[in-house]
Amino acid sequence: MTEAATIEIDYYYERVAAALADLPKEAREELLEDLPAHFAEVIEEQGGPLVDRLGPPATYAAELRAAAGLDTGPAEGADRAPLVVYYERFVAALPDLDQRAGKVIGYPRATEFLRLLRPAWWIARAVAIVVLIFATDILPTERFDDPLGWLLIAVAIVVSIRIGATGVPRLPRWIGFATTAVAVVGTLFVVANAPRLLRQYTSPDYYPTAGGPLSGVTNVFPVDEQGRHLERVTLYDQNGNPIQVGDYWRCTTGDGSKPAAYPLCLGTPRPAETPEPADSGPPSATPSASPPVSSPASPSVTASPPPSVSPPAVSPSPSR
Amino acid sequence: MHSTLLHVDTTQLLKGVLDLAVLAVLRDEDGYGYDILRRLRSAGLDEVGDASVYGTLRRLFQAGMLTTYVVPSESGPHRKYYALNAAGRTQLGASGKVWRGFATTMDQLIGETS
Repeated sequence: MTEAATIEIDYYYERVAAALADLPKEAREELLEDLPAHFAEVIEEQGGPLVDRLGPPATYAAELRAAAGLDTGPAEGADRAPLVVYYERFVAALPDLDQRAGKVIGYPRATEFLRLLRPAWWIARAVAIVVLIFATDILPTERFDDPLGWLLIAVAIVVSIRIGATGVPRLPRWIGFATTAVAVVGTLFVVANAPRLLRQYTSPDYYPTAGGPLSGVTNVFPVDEQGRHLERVTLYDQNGNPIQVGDYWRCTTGDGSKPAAYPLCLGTPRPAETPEPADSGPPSATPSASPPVSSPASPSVTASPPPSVSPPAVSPSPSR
Repeated sequence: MHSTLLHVDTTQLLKGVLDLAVLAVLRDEDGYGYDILRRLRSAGLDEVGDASVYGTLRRLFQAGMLTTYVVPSESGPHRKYYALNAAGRTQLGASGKVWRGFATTMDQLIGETS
């Protein structure tokens, strides 16, 4: 075979293959498998350009497709966007998928099982929507601490079940869709927050110091190096989060948004005039070491005398 | 659409009987694609399309009426031969009977009216 003939066969073959691009891979490959050999035979026996012998590649492909029974309408498939074709193929595969998934869980169809779960969904959607309402602070209720919250959730569940079971009150379609969308978002919200919510209400971790060395501490009294009491001191951890030690909740007046300031419960100082730290060694030793210079603004500076160290260190330099 | 009613189109007729024709030319001897096409044309079906025969072979194979085997050749490409199997022969017999009945009916019809 001449090189020109090979190129011509390749070209024609590629055109035909392109026109069949929407077919499933396996069927397509099977259909195309023997074509190059066949085209070679055509050229050998009849000569001439393939297009003259066999017609335009697209027409050839359409004829091939129709004869092989792979498509209802040859032109139809070529016109549609690939996405549409994929979508239609997906939809066509759904019943089979339904059956297979059902077989795994012991039902004729997966949808049959899902249908049994519908009442569960009616309850779940009601809870999800109410939780979402709480989370977005639309209502002035504090989650489930409030009887109003429980009442709201009960009403929502009853209404949701009633709508699901009887279809009454009949709502416009778009409201139904919108509510379902909100419920799905709410469900995702609940699922995403479930670990935190559960821990918040059930676990002792909620009180950060529980079980730790500070578990018995109910209040903190900050004292500066002079032994003076400090007020409204806020402690932060290495991440910049306020540290809450002690019986924080007993002292707050309801405003929980502010970080704890120590000592807690300013109005009722429980310890005596001289707190324990003043009696012990470190604070009382400092006043003699640092004269009036030490400002109360920087209590973190230690009592070690910094200025006396530097001069002797400079003097040995002439020896070089 | 209206034009096909005015004169009988051979390609339209072929569509209905190409399966039978392909099965028939494979009854006595296996053949590869181009060979089968040649047999059909030399038998008088000049208008049979290249791609139609090829597609029909694939479909009959998929339907389990044909078996295939590859024969290497020293000159040129390897050839895939098609052969009738038992199911294909049964189909050929059944379709042949249907065709004969149909052809007889058409003959009588045309004989009476013309």
